Amino acid sequence: MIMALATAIWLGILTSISPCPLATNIAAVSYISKNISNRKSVAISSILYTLGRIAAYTIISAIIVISVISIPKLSNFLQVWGIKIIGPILILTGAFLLELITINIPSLSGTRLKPEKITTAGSFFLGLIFALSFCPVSAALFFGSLIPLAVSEESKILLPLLYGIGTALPVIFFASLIAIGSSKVGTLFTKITKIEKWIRTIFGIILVITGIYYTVLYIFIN
Amino acid sequence: MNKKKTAGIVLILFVILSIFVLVAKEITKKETPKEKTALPTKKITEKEHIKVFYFHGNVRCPSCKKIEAYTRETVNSRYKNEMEKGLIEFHEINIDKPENAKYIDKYQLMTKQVILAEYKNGKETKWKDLDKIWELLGDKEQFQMYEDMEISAWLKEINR
Repeated sequence: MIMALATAIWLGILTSISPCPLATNIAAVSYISKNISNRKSVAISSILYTLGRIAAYTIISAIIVISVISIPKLSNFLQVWGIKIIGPILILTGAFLLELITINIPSLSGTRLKPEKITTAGSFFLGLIFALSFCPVSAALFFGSLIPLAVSEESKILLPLLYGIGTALPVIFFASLIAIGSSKVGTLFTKITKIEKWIRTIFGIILVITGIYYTVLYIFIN
Repeated sequence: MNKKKTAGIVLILFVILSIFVLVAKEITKKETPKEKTALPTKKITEKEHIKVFYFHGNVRCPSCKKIEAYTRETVNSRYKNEMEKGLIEFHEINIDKPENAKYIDKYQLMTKQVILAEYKNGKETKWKDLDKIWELLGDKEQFQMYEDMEISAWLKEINR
């Protein structure tokens, strides 16, 4: 059983470091480390992002357990639609980082929610959507390796949960690295806000360009 | 500030347009009757033979292309004689085409996969998913050795 638990995490890490989810990982890293000057916000964002991924994988696993849908059909559906939806999401995330668009959601009490809170909460949905957008490698590892393992170990919730943590680990690692690194450099030059702005701008531009590329390729052409 | 706002609006409009195109494409896809594309004429080989299938979708990622290239190379270079004799056939199939959707359930296809199928008297007698290909993709030699071992084991059986 311990072997199975370790395998689940490892499969998650393998999924995350394969070249195919690179764009979504860059998006996640930059989004999580958006407020690098605030370490607490980076930590909460990381946790929420992980929870989002966990939610996605356990939901899929649950759907498979109730077996309302055939695994191959579900896998192919998520791959076809995942890649189409990623482009627009990358553009919006990028535009948000560049502060080209701002979101204002009035809270129930009538006062407006602080934008930082919305950003932090967004991490959860980013994790959820990125996890649902399967690419061939992640589909092979999740549906082809993890699900059979979960079925044979009769652990259809715990193993997908660990897999979800595994897929989030590299992203959290890099986000923390940026947060710690830039705050070190920042205190050195007392210019942290400037560095934060630079990193955010660079990431934002990368995301918008990648998003447009994905959208053109997978929605307009294919 | 205004420039920022304009850029934001342009990007949002682009996103809305893309969603519109996506939905429109989906609707028209459902409306157009399935065109009947002539299936490639199959040689009816009565003798026993093995089919090596490579399944993919409309979207081709670098790893998927690599799988196809490695598999083609394995078959073409190591089984040239058998290919000429008709003992081995290589088929590359796009499962996003409606006429090929049947393969998804038949071989339980979840992603881009390589499937071996054995044919006797024109009928498929067994099939196998070469499921280790994704793990071995990083090592061309291991990848091709794995495919080679599987194919040669099956070939031995039909050659008996």
